[in-house]
Amino acid sequence: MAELTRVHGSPSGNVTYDRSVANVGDISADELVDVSGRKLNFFKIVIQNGSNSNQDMRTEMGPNECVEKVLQIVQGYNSDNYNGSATILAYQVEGDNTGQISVAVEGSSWSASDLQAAIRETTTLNSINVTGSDVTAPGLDLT
Amino acid sequence: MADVTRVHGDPLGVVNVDLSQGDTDADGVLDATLTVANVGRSCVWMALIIKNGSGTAQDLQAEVDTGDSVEAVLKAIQASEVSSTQYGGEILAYQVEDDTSGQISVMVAGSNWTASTMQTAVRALGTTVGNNSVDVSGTTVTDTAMKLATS
Repeated sequence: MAELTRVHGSPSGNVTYDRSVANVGDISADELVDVSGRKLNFFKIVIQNGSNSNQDMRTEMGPNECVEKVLQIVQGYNSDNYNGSATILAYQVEGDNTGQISVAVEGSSWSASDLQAAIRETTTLNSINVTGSDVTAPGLDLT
Repeated sequence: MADVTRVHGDPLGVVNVDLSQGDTDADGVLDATLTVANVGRSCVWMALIIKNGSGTAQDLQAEVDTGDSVEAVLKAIQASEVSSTQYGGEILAYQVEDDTSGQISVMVAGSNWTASTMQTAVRALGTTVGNNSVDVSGTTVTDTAMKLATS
């Protein structure tokens, strides 16, 4: 019996909204594919003071403390003050002194630079100096 | 008017299923990395480096077509039949790096994969995987949790 060779259904993103900038066939940029649901964005946030020293987040987990306030900024909790917002699907706070918070969000209107500016301009969050914080958008690049 | 200080509703996970170990002694201070998923099922986050039997990373930039090795690896991760070597799971998102690192990052819901069982399953695909016969027998898998890289 004759067989038909399957030529569609590759691991590259299928439709425009669920994929990054890679092309059909060989990729020319990191290929991020969201299999279901809305488009996801991933932001790596490193909380740093004005001297770019990492701020330990392990003791900032209580109500109204730094981690909560950063997550509120990501979600546009006081949206009038920010240039973006997003729904947080998952986040991770490192159990070390790196000050890293990783967030997976959907429906985001943030760019990494806008989110970074929004965090920095708060100056202090629960008395933690956040003016040197860095935000990058590595996609789903896990270490 | 009197104020009531809010003492609940912190960023720690609310129920067991949505968090990692985090604050194991419940003193409000992290003593391990905390991962919280606000919606849906608990996820695992794995970084795969596709390597041959000699431990050399395999370039995946040209391995994303139908029937190529990336597809084979993703199918192995989503293996629907649970057995001693296949643990299933639903891939919610994945990323293939546009470089020679051979890295695939996956976010998987409803999975009981561990890094070692996933590594064993991917390695078992063999030395001639996909249309271009990629050797994946030295692949390494790391459970990074949701720790994003710098780039």
